[in-house]
Amino acid sequence: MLEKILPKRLDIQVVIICGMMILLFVPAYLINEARQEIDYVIEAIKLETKAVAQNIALTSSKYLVIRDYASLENLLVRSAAFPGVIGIQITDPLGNVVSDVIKTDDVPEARFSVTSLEVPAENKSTIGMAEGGNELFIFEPIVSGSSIGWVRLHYELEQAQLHAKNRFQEYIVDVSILTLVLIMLLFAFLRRPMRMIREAADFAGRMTDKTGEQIAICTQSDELNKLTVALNNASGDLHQQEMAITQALKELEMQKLALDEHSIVAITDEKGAITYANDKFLEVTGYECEELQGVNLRILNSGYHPKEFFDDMWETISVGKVWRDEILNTNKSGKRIWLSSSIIPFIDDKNKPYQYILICTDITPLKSAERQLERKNRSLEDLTDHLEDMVKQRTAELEAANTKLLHLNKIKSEFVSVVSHELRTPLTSIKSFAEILEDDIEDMEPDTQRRYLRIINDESDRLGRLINDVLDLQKIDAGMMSWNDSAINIGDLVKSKFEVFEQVVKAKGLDYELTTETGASLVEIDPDKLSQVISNMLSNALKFTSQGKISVSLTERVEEAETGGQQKWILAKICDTGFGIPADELENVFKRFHQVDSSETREQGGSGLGLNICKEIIEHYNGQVWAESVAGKGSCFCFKLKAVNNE
Amino acid sequence: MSKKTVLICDDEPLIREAISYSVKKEGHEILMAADGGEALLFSIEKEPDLILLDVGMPVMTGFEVCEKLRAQPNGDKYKIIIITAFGQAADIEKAKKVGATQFISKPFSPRALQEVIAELLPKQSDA
Repeated sequence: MLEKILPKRLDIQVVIICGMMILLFVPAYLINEARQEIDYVIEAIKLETKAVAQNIALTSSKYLVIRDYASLENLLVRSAAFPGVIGIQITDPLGNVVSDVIKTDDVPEARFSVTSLEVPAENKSTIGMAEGGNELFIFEPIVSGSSIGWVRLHYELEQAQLHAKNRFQEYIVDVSILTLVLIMLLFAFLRRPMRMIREAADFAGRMTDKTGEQIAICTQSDELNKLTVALNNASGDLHQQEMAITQALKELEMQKLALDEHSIVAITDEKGAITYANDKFLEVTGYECEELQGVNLRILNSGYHPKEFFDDMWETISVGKVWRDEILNTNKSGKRIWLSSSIIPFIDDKNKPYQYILICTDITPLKSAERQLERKNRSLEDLTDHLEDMVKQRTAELEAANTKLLHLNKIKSEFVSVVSHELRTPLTSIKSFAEILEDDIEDMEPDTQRRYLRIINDESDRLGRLINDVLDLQKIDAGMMSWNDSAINIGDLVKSKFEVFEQVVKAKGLDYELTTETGASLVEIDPDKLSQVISNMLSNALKFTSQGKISVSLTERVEEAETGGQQKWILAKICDTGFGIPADELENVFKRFHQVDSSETREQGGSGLGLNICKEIIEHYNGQVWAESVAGKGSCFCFKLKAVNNE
Repeated sequence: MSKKTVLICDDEPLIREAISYSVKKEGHEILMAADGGEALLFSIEKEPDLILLDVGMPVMTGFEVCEKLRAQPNGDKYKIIIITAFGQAADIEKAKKVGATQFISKPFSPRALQEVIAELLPKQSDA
């Protein structure tokens, strides 16, 4: 009940309760004090009044003895003037009133108010209180040897009560002031901690905002200190928890978003009825959200999987285990969709699933790719077998090419080595004879001098030719030779070339013969190169023939072309009657620096490169070059070139 | 003074002639071979006091001739000069390996050749 009356503020409550307690305590104290005061006053009045009565009894005894009633009355009137006395009676021992004085309006007056009084049985003074405690009766025996009567004094206590009342009022004022001061002190002392508590309460209320706010620590009292510290800690903890929860919620939200973005998600109840489906699910299945609500997932069943497949699934998920597999479903429009699915059961307290989450990925394209891949794999296997054969074949080819390359590289090194040797030979002759001439020219015959000088000259020419041949070959090898092709009549060229040689042949005493049967046939070739070939072959023939004849013939020959149809060839033969070439050497004569081993050939001083250059040139024009010989009877150097089809 | 014999082996006639000139100038008898086969044969048959071997010869190279001679009983008695290609370090190495007494490089100076011959065939006539 008290709580309903009191205001809600704690400090005010404390002050009020304290005030009330003070207020209850003080009047009780006051009443007690006043009572004691009154008792004390009454006792004093009693003693005072008793003394008055005794005095009256003593004095009145002598008047009674002499029966001087007038003096007795005077005595009574005088005595009645004593404050508070309202009546005095004198009786005989039996109680018959002999004199009576009553105070009316504070004036004593002798008149008989009563005739007899009931006196005390024992002969001694007695004090009694009248009804209401406002009046006091004192019986005092009058003694003169023996008891001769009684004095009864009637006293009013009004004065004492008035006194007590005054005292009571003084107490009230004092106590009120004291109470007020106490309440103010209490209020002043309680104000700060109470404010602190209020603030703490407000703060605690605000803590639900979880902002991590802190309040000032109260150092005034240990309890409040603990309270504020605890509140601050709680606020900090709450804030951290809030942050963690917010973060976790955010992550969860993002995970859900990510899941929804990537996956097809549906939630069903424990029987498989759909309770939720995300946008992807709707997109893939082709159903509207409303159509699926409460519908069993079986709606998607394509009938592809056997009953055992789903039995196995239910067996797994109904005991709370996750189930994963690829399912072929049918969507609303009847299209078959492959879903890689996971079903995750949610378990209640009794370990029974109360809902299932289905998370799927559409693997339809993957599946079709898989099938294609299988087909391709099969054809690939076939192809692999074929490829293996090809690889074997190619490896063999590469090995052959590599061997050839190594061989070519070896030839190249040999070429460099041979060139350096071949260049040194004429150089050595030149240097040797030049030095001999320098040292001994005075002691020499003029013929010897001339011979040595000629050697130097000839060897210089030989060196020059050699260098030219090497450079030509180098150019051909490096693909840097310039070929200035034009269609020429090979017969005309051979004739003009032969005219120059005619002189030399005649000078050597040899016969010669030229036969041309090529008419107007043309060959597409660089005339300088063709001229070089013919010169080389002619000088070769001349070099190795000491007697007999040199004959040149040009003929035409038609052959089947590789590409079908006919191909006309020009065939050239340059024959001599020299000592011939052994059969096993016929192929080698066109190799670089190859000379038939014989000191006789060596004496001819060829570079060993001429025929090789001829071969390179003719082959450049897709022609052929070869040699024919009968040892001891002579040789023929031949080539053939494609004639231009000018018909 | 007993004349010494020098065998000149080279497939190039002009080089044989040039070498002969230097040898004659030193006052020695001359034998000539135009290929490796002849060189080996003449060396063994005629036992020349000095053999000059060109490297690049038909039938057999100078190195082969030198090696075969050294393999003969008393093969050490031959004084052999191998004429190598100038600047071909591998040839010089090979000349040493097959046991050449000396080697000179092409193109050589007849004067230098005369000095080498004089070194290997000291003239006893002065004594």
